[in-house]
Amino acid sequence: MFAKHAMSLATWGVLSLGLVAGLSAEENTPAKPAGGSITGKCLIDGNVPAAGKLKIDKDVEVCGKRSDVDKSLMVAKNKGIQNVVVSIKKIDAPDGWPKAQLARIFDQKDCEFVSRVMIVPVGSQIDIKNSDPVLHNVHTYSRRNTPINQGIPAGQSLKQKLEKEETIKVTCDVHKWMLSWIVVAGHPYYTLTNEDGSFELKNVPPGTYELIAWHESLGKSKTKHKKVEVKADGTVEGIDFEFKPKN
Amino acid sequence: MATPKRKTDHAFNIQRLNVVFLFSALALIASVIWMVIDDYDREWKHFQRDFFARDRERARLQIEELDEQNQAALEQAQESKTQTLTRIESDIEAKRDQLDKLQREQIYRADQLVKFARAKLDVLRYEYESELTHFRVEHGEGRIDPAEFPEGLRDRYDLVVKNEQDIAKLSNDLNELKKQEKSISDELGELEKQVTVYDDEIRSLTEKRDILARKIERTESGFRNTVLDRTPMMDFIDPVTKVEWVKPPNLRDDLNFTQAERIDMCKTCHMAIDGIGYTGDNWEHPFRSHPRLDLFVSPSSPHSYLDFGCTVCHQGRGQDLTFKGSAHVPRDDAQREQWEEKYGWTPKAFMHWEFPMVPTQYIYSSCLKCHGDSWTIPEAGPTTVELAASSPAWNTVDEGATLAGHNSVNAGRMIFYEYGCHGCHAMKDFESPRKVGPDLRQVGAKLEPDWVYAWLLDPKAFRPTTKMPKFFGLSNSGGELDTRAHREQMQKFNQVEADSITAFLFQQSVPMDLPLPDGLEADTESGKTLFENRGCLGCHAVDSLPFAPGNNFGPNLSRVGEKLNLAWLYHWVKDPKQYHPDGRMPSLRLEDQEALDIASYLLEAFQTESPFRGSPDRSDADYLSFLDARIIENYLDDLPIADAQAKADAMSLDQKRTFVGQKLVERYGCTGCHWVNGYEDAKGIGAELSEHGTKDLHTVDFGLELHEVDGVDRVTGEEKTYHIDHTLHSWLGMKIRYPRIFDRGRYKAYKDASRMPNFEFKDDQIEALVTYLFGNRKELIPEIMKANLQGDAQVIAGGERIIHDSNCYGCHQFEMHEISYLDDDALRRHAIGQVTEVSVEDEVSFFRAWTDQIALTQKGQTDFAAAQTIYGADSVPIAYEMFSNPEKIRMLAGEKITDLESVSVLDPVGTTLELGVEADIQADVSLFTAIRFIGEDGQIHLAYGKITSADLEEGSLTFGLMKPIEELGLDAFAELELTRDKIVQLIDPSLALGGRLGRSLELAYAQNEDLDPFDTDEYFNDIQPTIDPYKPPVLFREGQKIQTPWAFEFLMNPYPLRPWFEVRMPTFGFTQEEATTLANYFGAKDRRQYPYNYYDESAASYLAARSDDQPEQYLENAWALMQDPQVNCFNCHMQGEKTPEGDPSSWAPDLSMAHERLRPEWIRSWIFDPQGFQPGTKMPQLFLSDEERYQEAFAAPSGHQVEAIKDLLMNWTASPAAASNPR
Repeated sequence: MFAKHAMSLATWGVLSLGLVAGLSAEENTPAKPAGGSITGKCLIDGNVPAAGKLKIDKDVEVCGKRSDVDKSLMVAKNKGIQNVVVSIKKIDAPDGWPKAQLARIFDQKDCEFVSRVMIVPVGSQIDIKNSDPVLHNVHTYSRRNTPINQGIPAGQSLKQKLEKEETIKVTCDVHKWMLSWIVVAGHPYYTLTNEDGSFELKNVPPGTYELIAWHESLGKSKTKHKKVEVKADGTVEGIDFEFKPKN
Repeated sequence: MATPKRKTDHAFNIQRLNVVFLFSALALIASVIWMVIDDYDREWKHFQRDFFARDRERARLQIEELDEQNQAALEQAQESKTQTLTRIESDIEAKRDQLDKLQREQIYRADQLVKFARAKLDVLRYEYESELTHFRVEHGEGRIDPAEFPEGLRDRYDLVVKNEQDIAKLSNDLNELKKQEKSISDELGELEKQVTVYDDEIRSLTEKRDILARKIERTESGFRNTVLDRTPMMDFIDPVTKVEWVKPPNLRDDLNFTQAERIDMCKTCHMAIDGIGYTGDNWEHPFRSHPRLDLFVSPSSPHSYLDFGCTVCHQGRGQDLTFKGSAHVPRDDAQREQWEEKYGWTPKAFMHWEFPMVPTQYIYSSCLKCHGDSWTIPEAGPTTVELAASSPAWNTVDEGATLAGHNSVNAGRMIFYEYGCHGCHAMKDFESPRKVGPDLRQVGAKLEPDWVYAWLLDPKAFRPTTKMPKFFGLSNSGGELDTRAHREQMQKFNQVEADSITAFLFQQSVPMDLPLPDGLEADTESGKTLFENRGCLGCHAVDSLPFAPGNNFGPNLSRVGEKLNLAWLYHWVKDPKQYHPDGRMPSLRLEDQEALDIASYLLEAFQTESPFRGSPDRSDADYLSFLDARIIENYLDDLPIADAQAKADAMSLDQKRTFVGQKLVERYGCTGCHWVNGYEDAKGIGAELSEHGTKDLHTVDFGLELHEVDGVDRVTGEEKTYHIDHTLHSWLGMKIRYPRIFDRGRYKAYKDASRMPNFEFKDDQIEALVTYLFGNRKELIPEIMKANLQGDAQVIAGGERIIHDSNCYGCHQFEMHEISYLDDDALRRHAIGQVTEVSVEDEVSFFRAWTDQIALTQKGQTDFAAAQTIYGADSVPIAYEMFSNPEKIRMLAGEKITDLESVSVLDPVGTTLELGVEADIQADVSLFTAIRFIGEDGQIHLAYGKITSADLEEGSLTFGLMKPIEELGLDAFAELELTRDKIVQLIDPSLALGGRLGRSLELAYAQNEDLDPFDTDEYFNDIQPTIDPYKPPVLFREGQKIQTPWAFEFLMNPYPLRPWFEVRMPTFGFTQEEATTLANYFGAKDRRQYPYNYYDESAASYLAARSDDQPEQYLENAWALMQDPQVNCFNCHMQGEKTPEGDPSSWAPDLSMAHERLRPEWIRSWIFDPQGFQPGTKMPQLFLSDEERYQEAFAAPSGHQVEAIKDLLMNWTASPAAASNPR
C-alpha cells in the first residue's frame, strides 16, 4: 500500500514525516504463511524535555519560513518518543524482497529535509531534490556507501543509489541546522515510532528474535529484548523501550 | 789418527736410499690421493651436489606440472599441425615445384639473356665510342649530332641504340618472371604459415619445459658429468660443481695497509639465493631464495648481486668456502644449537675475525653504511619500536611470510636521538646535538629542591614515561641486582649524592623575574577547554585520556601540579624560549589570560594525593660521614689525608653539599643533556660510538665471566634470565639493559665504578638500539656506493628531520593508508585512502579511496604509463591522479588527452570499498588498531582489530579481533577483555601517519559530552562530524596545493588561516634555513616546481586570450558567478575582513589569500571535485562535467566556469572582488 503512495509525489511529504517509508512487510504478504506482529512503545526515562530551538541565521528570507523547532528529539506528553527506529536484529530478508527498486524522493523544502528519518530498502535509489530557491548541498556521512557532498541548485535533483546497509547522517553544510537520517535497511522488519512513541512491526515470520531501538539523539535504548517469541497470527504486546535522556 | 774412509762408489747407501724413496713415493702417492679425496670431499661440493639433486627434483615436478597443464594444448597443437600438413602438403609441394621450375628454367634463362645482352652492348658501345673519337679528332669537337655522322659510324650508333632497346625488353621479361616468382613464393609462405603457427605454439608451450629439462641435464649424472664432474682427478676439466663468485666493481677489502678487490663466494653454497620461489618448508638454508628479492640480489633490484655482492651487508668472510670459516654468527640460542649439531660450529668460528657475519635480526643495521644521510632509511623499518611491533608490513617477504624479530634501524636511531645518547657519546650522525633535557640554568625559579631530590633518586617513580634515566640504585649502587652485602649502606650513599646534586643545581641557578599579570583572574574551566583544544595534546599526554594515542614527544603532564609553580608555568606556557632558548616547545601565541588559565588548570587538575617530595636526614651520622668521605677522596690525589680532612672540616654543610654536587654533575655528565651554568662547553663523558659496531671484542669489558643475569622483563614484569654471549651485540644489549652489571663481583674504586645510568628500556627498544649501534662501523665504503642524497631526496630528508624535531606529526596527518585488493575482475589493485569503519559485529571493514589506484596490474600500469607519455614522467597532473571519470579528464586537460580508453579502468575517487578481512584484502594489517597485551600464558601477544567498548575511568577495554590468535586459541571476531595492567601498548593506526591530536580532540570531546568514542553510532554520527572541522588540516599531498614562498612565510610567522579554529599552528621559531627546507619539502615530496613558480594567470596576455580581449568583462562574469545565489562561495568562505553569516564552524578559508597561497592547477581541480581530494570535506561539488549549470550568471561549459573562478582568484587584487573587499 505504501509502495503505491511512494510513487505519488503529492502524498510523499505527508508520509515521509510520518510512519514507515514504504518497506513494511505488506509487500510480500503472499510469500510466507501469515506472520505475527510486535507492538510496543518507546519512552523516555525521565522528565519530558522541552523541544529545542534552532538558530536560523542564514538565508533567512527563505529559511525563516520553516519552524525553528528542533526535531532531533520529539517527546510526547505521555513520554513517548517519535522517530525511534525499531528493528529486528539479525534476521534474513524474505525471498524476493524488496520486490522492486523504487525511487525514493528525498526533498529539501524551506531549508529543512522533508523527511526526518527515512527507512529505505537496501539497493534503493534516492532522488535528492531541492525545492528551495537557494542552494543546498547534500552531505552524507556515509561510511559504507560512497558518501556524497554535492551542491544542488534550486529546483534540481540528484540521484543516488544506496547499496549497503547502514544508518546515514545527512546534513547541509550551508545551513548547519539541517539534519536528516536515512536508514538503509537490509530486511523489511524496520519501523518508526509514531508521535506517541508507539510502533508496530507486522508480518514477522514466527520465531524468536532480538529487538533493538535506536534514536538519533538518544542512541541505542538501554532496554534489552533479546528473546521475543513471535507466533503465526499472534501479536506480541508490550515490547517497550526506555531511553536515558542526555544531560 | 783419522779413520780411513770407506771405499764406496757413492756417498750414500743406495739400498737404504731405495727404501727411503719407496716410502716417500708411497707417502707422496698417499698424500696425492688424500689431496684428491679431500678436494672431492669439500663441504661446499656436498652442498652443491645436494642442491643440484633437489633442484632437479623440483624441476622434474615442475615439468610434470607443466606437462599436465599443457598436455592437452600440446597434443591439440601437434594434432592440428599434422592435420594441416596432410591437408595442404600436396599444395605446398606443388607450389614448391612450381617455384623451383620457374626459377630453374625461365628465370635463369631470362637472366642469362639479359646478362649476355649487356655484355654485348659493352662491346658495341666501345666500338662506337672509339670510332666517334676518331671522327671528332678529324672533324672538330662540336660535331656530335648522330644525324651528321658518316655511314659507318651511324651504323654503329644505331646498333648501340637497338641493343639498348633489346636489353630493356629482356629486363622487362625478367621482371615479369620475378613478379610471378614473388607471388608464388607469397602463396607458398601463406601455406607454410598455416603450419608454422602450430610450431610457434608448440614452442611457446614447451619453452619453459625445455629450459627446465636443460637444467636437469646440466647437473644430471650422465656420461659427461660422471667423467668431468664426478671423477676425482678429472673433475677439474669442466666441472658443474664449481665456486660461484662475484666481484663487485666498486668494493674493496681493507687489509690495513692495502686494499684488495672484494670477492664474495657465498653463492657457492647459497645457490638459490637469486632464484625465485625457493621458500617454504622444503627449502632450508643454505638453499633458500633471498627474502627480499625486490630490494636485493636480483638484477632489477636497487642492490643487485653483481654490483653489491653479499658481504657488504651481511659481512663475514666472503672468500671462505666453509661454514665455520666464513664466520657465520647465530641469531639466537636455538640457531646456535642447531649449528653446533649440524656444522660443528663453535664460537671460535667468528670470535677472531674483524667482521663476523651480522646475525639476521640486526641485518638492517648495515643500511647505515650507505644510507646514513637519510633521516629515515626507506624499507629499513618504522621509526618507533611501537610501530615495528605492530606492523609486520615492513619486513614482509614473499608469500606473506615475515621475518620475525627483525629490528628497525630507524627506530634505533630515533631512540638514540630522542633519549639524548649523543649527550655523552659522540656519534657521527649527530654532530651538533641539542641537549635533550630541560635547561637548568634557572632551575630555582621552576622547581623545589625536595622534588628534585626525589626525582633524581627515581625519575620513573614520578613519570613512568620520562626519558630521564636512573642514576641511583643500580646494580653497582644498591639496586635490586646489586649482590653485595652493603646494599642498604649504598642506598644511604645514593641519598647523599642526590641531595648534593640538588644543592649544587640550586646554587648555580640564576634568579628569574616571573611577574604574574596584574588584575587577571585565573579561570580553570577555560584553562581546561584551552588545554584540550589549543593543541597541547599534540605533544603531551595525560593519563586522564587513557585511549589517546600515545604521544611521548613532550612530557606526560599527569602529575605536573606536584612539580611546578604558577608563576613559572605561566611564563613557560606563554613563551617557552624565555626559559629554554633551544627547547622544542613552541609558542602558541597565547594571550596573558589564556596562559594564566592554562597554567592554573594544569596545576589544579594534574596532581595526586601524595605529592612527590623527599629529603634525606642531614643530621644522620652516615649521611655526614659519606659526605665528608666524598670531599676527602676528592682532595686525596693532591693532599695528605690530614689536610684533606681539614679542608672538609672547614666547610659548612651547604658548602659540602654543593662541592660534592658539582663533582657529581661532572662525574655523571649531567651537562650532556642539561644546560648548567659554567658548563656551557662541557664535552660528553662517554666513549664515542661512531665505530662501535666494529669494536674489537678484546677491548670490550665482559666483567668476571658473567654468563647470565636474573633480571625482570620490563613489560610483563616476569622474572627472566638474560644470557650474555661473547658477542658484541649481546654485550651491547646487556650494557643498555643493566649498564653497570659488569662491575658485579669485582673490586672497583669509587672513581672507576661504572657510571652509565639506566634508561630502563624495554627489550624491543634495546634490540632496536643495538641494531643502530651495531650499524656504526668503521669500514671503507667508496663514495660512489653511498646513497648520497641529492636534489629532491636531500630536501625531503632535511624536511623530515625538521618535521620530526617540531613534531608536526603530532597534529598533522601527512599520509593516508594504502591497501592493495582484488577487484571484481580479480586484478590486484592499489588504493590510497582511509578506513571508514571496522565492524567486528558484521565482520567487515570499509575503506574509502582518496586517490586513484596506481594499479599494480598490467592493465593499471599501462594506464599510468599512458598518462606519463602524455604529460611527461614527472608531471602527471592532479587531474590524472585525482580524477578517474574520463569525461572529467577531458574537460580538465583540454585537448591534451585523446586516448580516453586508457583511463577508463580506474574507479571513481571517493569510492568506498568493502573489505572482507581475510578474503580479498592484502592490506597492511596496521590499518586496524593494534594492541599488545599480556595473554593468559604470561607472554606478550599482538592483536589487530578494534576497541569495541571501554571503561574510560579504569582504562580497561574489550577488543574485537580481526585476525585470529592461534597461540591463545582465539578466532577472528572474538572479543578480548583486558584490564589496564594487561595492556602493554595500544597502537592507533594514525600513529604511522601523524595527526594524533585529532584523535585526542575527539576523545576529550567524548569525555566532556559523556559520549562513548568506541560506540560506532556515537562516534560516526556525533563525535567525528563535530570534531572534524576543528582538526588540524591533513597535509597529504600538500605540495600540490600550496605555493612554496607562501609556505615559507607562514612557517616563519604563522597567522590564523581558519579563524574558527581553536587549535592553533604554533610559532616554532624556525631559522630561515629551516623554514626554507620545510617549505621546499612539500614541493619536493609531491613533485611540484619549487621554490619559485611562475603562474601566467596574472599576465595581461593570458586574460586577453581567455576572454576575446575583454579581461575586465571576463573577471566581472567570474565574480558574478561566484556571487550567484546558487554558487555563492561566500556563503561559507571568508573574503578578507568580510565573514559569512552564521556560526564560525561552518566557515571556510579566506579566498582573498588564495592567489598567494594556492597553486592554480590545484584550485581548478579542487573546485571540480573536492570529494576527490578530501572525501568528507564540507566543500560541496558544485560543478558537474555532464551538466551545464548557472548559465544565467556565466554562460559557458562548466570547465570554463571553473577556469574563470580560478582566474579570478589568481587575479584577486586586480578584480572586482578586491574592489568590493578592500583588504
